[in-house]
Amino acid sequence: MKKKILIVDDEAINRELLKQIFESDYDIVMANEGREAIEAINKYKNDLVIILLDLMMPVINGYQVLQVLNANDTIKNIPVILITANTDMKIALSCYSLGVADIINKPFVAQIVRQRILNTIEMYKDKHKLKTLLAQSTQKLTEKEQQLELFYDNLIDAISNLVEFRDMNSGMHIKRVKGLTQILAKSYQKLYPDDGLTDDEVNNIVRTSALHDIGKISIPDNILLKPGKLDNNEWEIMKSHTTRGCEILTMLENVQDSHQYKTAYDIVRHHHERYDGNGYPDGLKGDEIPLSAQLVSIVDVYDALVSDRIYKKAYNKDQAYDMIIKGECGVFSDKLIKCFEYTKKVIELFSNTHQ
Amino acid sequence: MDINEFIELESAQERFMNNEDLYKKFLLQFPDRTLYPDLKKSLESEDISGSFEIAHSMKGVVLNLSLNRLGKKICEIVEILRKDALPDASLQKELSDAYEDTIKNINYIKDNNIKLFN
Repeated sequence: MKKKILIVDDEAINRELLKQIFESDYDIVMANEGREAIEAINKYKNDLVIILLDLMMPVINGYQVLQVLNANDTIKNIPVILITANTDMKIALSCYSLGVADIINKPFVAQIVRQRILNTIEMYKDKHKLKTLLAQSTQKLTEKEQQLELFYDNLIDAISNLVEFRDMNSGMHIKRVKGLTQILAKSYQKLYPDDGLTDDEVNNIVRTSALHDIGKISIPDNILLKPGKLDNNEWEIMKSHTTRGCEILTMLENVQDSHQYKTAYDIVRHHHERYDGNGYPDGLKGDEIPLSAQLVSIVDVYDALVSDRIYKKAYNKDQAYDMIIKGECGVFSDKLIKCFEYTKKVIELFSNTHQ
Repeated sequence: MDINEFIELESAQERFMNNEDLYKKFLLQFPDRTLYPDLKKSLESEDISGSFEIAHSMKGVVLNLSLNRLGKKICEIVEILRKDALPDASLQKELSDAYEDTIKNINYIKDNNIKLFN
């Protein structure tokens, strides 16, 4: 089926002249004023390759038609060429600003008009093709990026699980830490919107939270797996999993983008800091401790309390909750405690369903 | 009668892509159109914006038909009206003369079935 050209002019001579130029290659639709033109555009918009529009017409004039096409974005998809006897520069400029592709003055020379109009049709065809190609490429890239991110997440989880398997018998701790960190971070966004924690940053914190104990790989079995209390010397070695984790991360720096690397580094190093400065390894105080590490630290404590460990039995969820709120496991920021209270039920549910 | 004095035949032939029938169809319709009588009435009542609209339409038709003598006059009048002024009596008279002359010539072409395009 032939594509269509819409000719809008109140003057029959103009319509016939333009029709004659194009009728061998296109179906010609004609309108003699603006209202008719808009109806034709709505009816044929998928088949129209160009609209040839006169400016001065009775009822609805060409300028008003342009305003309508501009408002409903049609002008981005179907080129409009003004064919006008009006040579006023101001009017021409305002028509260009409404999106017309070209302005041809009347009276026109058929061959020149034909060529200019065909050029515009071709240009828009190419534009549509490029737009489609770009959309397809973007889609492909997005899919690839998602695949890469998934692969990356799985890799982080796998590395983290390798470490956890030494002293635990399932990979669920990593799943719980990630899930609970997400729950807590989302509630932080909701309760403290002014702090500007973005969705991207939350995703970043959640995915890198898996790495928090990566340094434990360097703790010897006799300390990591010791059922009883650690002596001072052993405890110091145990605490060094934070700084040793950072040494491991330093080796990975080149394969990670710097922002994720920094988040991972903050979490690995500082997830045992406490808000009053009594944590380790650096004794950071208050908001010197990165928010990412604060979020993971409270989650890590909670999960340690409600899980069986080689050196202790699990506390029940209410006990664990009370211990954290009362500061028996170290001091957390008021904001984090608020988030923890706010999400108590969800945290319990998530823990229960991820054993 | 030298047709080229009132029609620029070369540009008409080009514009109508050698389609003499189509050109003649519109040319011979021209005397029946009310554009000039409407413009005259509007100018007499000193309605500038109304006159501008009619004059503008008439300019389009006249130039499309390559009626160059009439075209020159109507273009002058459109520009004056565009500036919110009325054309003086002498210009209006020139327009009237050009119009009458054009109609006379068109009727001559019609009556003698004169061939226009090469």
